[in-house]
Amino acid sequence: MAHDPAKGSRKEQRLRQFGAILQGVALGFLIVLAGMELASLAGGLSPFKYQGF
Amino acid sequence: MADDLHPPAAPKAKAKPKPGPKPVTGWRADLAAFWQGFSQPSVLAFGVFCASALATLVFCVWFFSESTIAGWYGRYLPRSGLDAEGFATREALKAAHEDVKHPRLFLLGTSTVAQAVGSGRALEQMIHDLTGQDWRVVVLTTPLQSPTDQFALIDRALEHQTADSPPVVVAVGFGLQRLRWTPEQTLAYALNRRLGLRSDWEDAEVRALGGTPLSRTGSYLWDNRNFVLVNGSEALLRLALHRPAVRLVDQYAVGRKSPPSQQVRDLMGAGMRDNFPNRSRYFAQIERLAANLATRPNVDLVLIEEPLSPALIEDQGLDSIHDQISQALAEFAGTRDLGYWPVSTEAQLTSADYFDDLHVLVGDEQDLLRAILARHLKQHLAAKGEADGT
Repeated sequence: MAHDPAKGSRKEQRLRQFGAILQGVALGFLIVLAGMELASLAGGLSPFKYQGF
Repeated sequence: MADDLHPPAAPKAKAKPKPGPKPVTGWRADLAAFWQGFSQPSVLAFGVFCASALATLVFCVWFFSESTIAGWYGRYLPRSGLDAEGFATREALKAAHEDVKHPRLFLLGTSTVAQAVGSGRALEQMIHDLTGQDWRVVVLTTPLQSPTDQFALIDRALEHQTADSPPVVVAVGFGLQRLRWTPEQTLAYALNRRLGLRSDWEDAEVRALGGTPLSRTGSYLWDNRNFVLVNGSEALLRLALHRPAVRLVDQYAVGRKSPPSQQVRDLMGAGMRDNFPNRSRYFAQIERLAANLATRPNVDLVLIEEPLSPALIEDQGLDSIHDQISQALAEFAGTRDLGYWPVSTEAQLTSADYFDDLHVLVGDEQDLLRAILARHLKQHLAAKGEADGT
């Protein structure tokens, strides 16, 4: 079967877009998680901080 | 220059171009294209990143709300099976929102009570065997639970209790450990929130202790920000991976039994001895809790004796204080129509039955304590039946 370069390039472009979307979704989610962890660190919060006196 | 000795060089044959690397085709090309898009910055990736971050924030606002935590998605809230505060928060809010069909026994107290009872399933079975009734045991225990935590948890758990609701028994662990909670200590813990809920009863109790309750805006995220920050990332990851934590209530007797720390013992003993002369304030606190609970229909309050190791009591010379507190509790409960279940005294456990000074071993020791709790509940129901003439 003959290779259609235009078709191949369209497919690769779609895959590049899919990769970019996945990158954005993952980083957007993780940045919020990291933000919460950082805020928790900055606030000196720990689940074990107030479990003994 | 060309001569005989140096014949002219033969014209170079046109060199064939070497074959370059074969163009990548098939799945390798697909993967390369995907990886290029996934790993390199692009306008599209940045746009999706902004949208995703915003969507996650919006999702947080929805997830960290009382109605969501009380519902199906709330099971992703606790950080791990050991996150007692996360589970207690979820259980209290769930108890308030769910459609109640069975009578319920709410357990409040420290890790000592949690360890004595375990998951609650075994206790439910024992109650069923003894009374023939299906009770639900709701374990709202948390490590080092402060008196204000108890006000908050039970207030929210019973906020929708009506006269038509099935009966509720609230069992509060009470004993020598309560004596360690000075007003200052209680207020410090009330300000550094470990639970993920706010309550009018708790605020009133903070005022009664001379403190100023934390302000409230009505936004769950802001009012419970410490709790959200501590639990947030794990909860979202658990949700994304569809891995809710399974609660381990009796988590305090796991691993190798090690000898108790004398420093910790001395600290506990000193706190109990020092505050014993002011014991009336702890009874006043229970009186305020009883007055609050009296506003909710079909609810009874009982006090249960927290089981402490005889080794701790002996080591710190607390026998006299222990006996006086037990006697005072029984009298206090008797004069105010509250239940008093001296679980520890009746169980007659020895030091060998404890993992450490505050926690019984898993197994027969728990079964014994659960059996005593179930028997007291049965007696309580019988007494109520007699009083109601049923």
